Amino acid sequence: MIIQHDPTDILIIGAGAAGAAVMWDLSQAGFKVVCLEQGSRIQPDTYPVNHPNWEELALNDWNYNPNIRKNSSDYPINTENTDINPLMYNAVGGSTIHWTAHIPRFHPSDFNVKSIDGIADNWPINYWDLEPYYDKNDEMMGVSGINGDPANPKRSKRQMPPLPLGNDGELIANAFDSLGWHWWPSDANVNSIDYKGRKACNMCGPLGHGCPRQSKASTDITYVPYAIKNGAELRVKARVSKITTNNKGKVTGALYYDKDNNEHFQPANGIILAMNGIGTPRILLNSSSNKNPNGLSNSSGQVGKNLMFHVYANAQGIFDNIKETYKGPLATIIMSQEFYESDKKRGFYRGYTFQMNRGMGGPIHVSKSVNWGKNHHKEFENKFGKSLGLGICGDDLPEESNYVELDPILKDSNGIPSPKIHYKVSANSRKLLDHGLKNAEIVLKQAGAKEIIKSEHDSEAGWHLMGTARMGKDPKTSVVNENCQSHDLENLFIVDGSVFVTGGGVNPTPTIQAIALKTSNYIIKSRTDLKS
Amino acid sequence: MSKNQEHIDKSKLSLLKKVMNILIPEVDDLPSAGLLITDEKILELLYKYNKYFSSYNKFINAIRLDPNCRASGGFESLDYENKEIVLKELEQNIPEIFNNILEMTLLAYYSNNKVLDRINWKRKTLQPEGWELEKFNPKILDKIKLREPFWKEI
Repeated sequence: MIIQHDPTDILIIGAGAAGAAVMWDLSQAGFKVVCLEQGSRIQPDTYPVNHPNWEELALNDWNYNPNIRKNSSDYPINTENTDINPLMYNAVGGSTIHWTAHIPRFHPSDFNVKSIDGIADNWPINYWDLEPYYDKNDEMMGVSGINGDPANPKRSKRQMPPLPLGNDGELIANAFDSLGWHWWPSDANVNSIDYKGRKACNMCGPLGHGCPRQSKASTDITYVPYAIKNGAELRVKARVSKITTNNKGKVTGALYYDKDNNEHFQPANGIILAMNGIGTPRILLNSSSNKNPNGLSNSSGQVGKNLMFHVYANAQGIFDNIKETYKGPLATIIMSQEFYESDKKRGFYRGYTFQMNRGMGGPIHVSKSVNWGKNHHKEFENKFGKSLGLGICGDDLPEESNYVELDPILKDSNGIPSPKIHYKVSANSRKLLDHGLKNAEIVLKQAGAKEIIKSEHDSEAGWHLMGTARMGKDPKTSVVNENCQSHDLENLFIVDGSVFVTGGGVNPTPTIQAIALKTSNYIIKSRTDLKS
Repeated sequence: MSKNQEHIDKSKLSLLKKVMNILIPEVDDLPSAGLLITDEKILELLYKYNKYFSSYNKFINAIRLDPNCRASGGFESLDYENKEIVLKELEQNIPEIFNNILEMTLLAYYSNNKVLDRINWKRKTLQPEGWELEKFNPKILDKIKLREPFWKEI
């Protein structure tokens, strides 16, 4: 028997970076909001850094990879045919629980790749359309940073001063200065001073596995409490199996399972999908019917297509002149966008961001990066506390051969078909990464590295899941319009990374959140018909 | 005792520890990993995490079936260089399983207090103490602030 619920104005699926933001915005505007989240609320005392075996926990129960972690809230993903493994976290707060909170924005050029480079597509919106929503999100999440970065348009005043650079950060900053190359302190959703009742960061290090001090912003603490206060209802351990439709071209609600495997139906006037570039196409494809045999909102055939991660490589320098690089936030120190904008002379399209990374954490994480056998101890001593990395986060362009589909066999614990992903690093991406590695070596040498270890391609770098329900003006080639409204179903919206047209060369979360808030603003202003 | 616990016998554990000796050799006054890591620690990790347990059984089977090991009366009978060769082949042929065994070895080794004393690392929770870093000094921006904006206006 299916348990029926009272209708709601807006049903949001997913309480992560985007879902929590629209839950807050719409509930504040008086919409009746229900949010379904397949994960649970994570209690801060369970975060690894509260425990002496934090490295063991980080490699297992808190692993970034859901196929390794295998929590009850995770679903399996077939990754047999991908160069990059997708990473995500399923819980209230979503992947902001385990992100490093490094929050560069897209550049104006990222929205016009077709016009600039003659490849991929332009977005139907631009940087200036999103700017007020970047600012609105910054206020809620709290940004440590400083204005004046010459690589980016001027921004509103940052809420907090930059995080400490540390001796290691200063070393790299000076190296960039010596070369005459750009660098700037990272904007970070990590508090450098107390902000909105959340304490300043105490530099413990591994941001990626939850922050019990609440110094790192995650949407379970920045948006969700305010949304609940507004009257929004959040149901956890609620896994959606299917979105339902009527004959009038509208969605009507969603079927979902609770933790005890009971099936529920939540009717709604409008639905917002707020998962990620894998979860969203999975649900749309799983919602096929006689009327929509190829899945929901898929008249274009674009659902699941154009999967983008960011291609990622890393060069690590070993230094004699620094120590204790495990102190301080992992990856919110400085960035360089010297090679961000396209330059045809380089032989590839688009560009990349250098993101400085501190040492690799505690001894167990460092030991995993050195060889076993005779030289193990020597290599370990060389590296532990003395290594710094420059990550290369490269623009990833859309290609139809990179896609998400439903696996014909693999299912989750509720029997819902799982996704299978297909992704190959393109020739353009390879050239881009090689260029980045060469330049990273120059910077690290300039900083005094005695040895440089290059990782040409990081297969465990699938943090950013984008592109699989893309935005566009033409219903024949895109899934949603500039308001993130489905071309096929006028009361269905998508606000996660799947709507990205191109990937940019930066971490996507602030852009995802800005798009979400722009969409909720559209609903508030123009879709009062969805309000009961 | 769980069902899994019943499947671990002493000979398999002994073989694993001999592998661990090659993965992390002795250093200074510390013995190699297989001699340092206790049975209890290995069992704790095997019972706690299925990925280690399932890899352990597959790994032991693979090493027992390895032609070099079989030809010379088992892994234990090989000299150091040949043990290394066998492990390198397994690393190449069954990377996921090998890496899980290596990860478990590193976890057990680098949580041993004698090892941590040697590398001068205090095993502790990172919170609530954290670490201290000097506050950001805007003086460091003096040079880069002189640069003109170079983002592309579209």
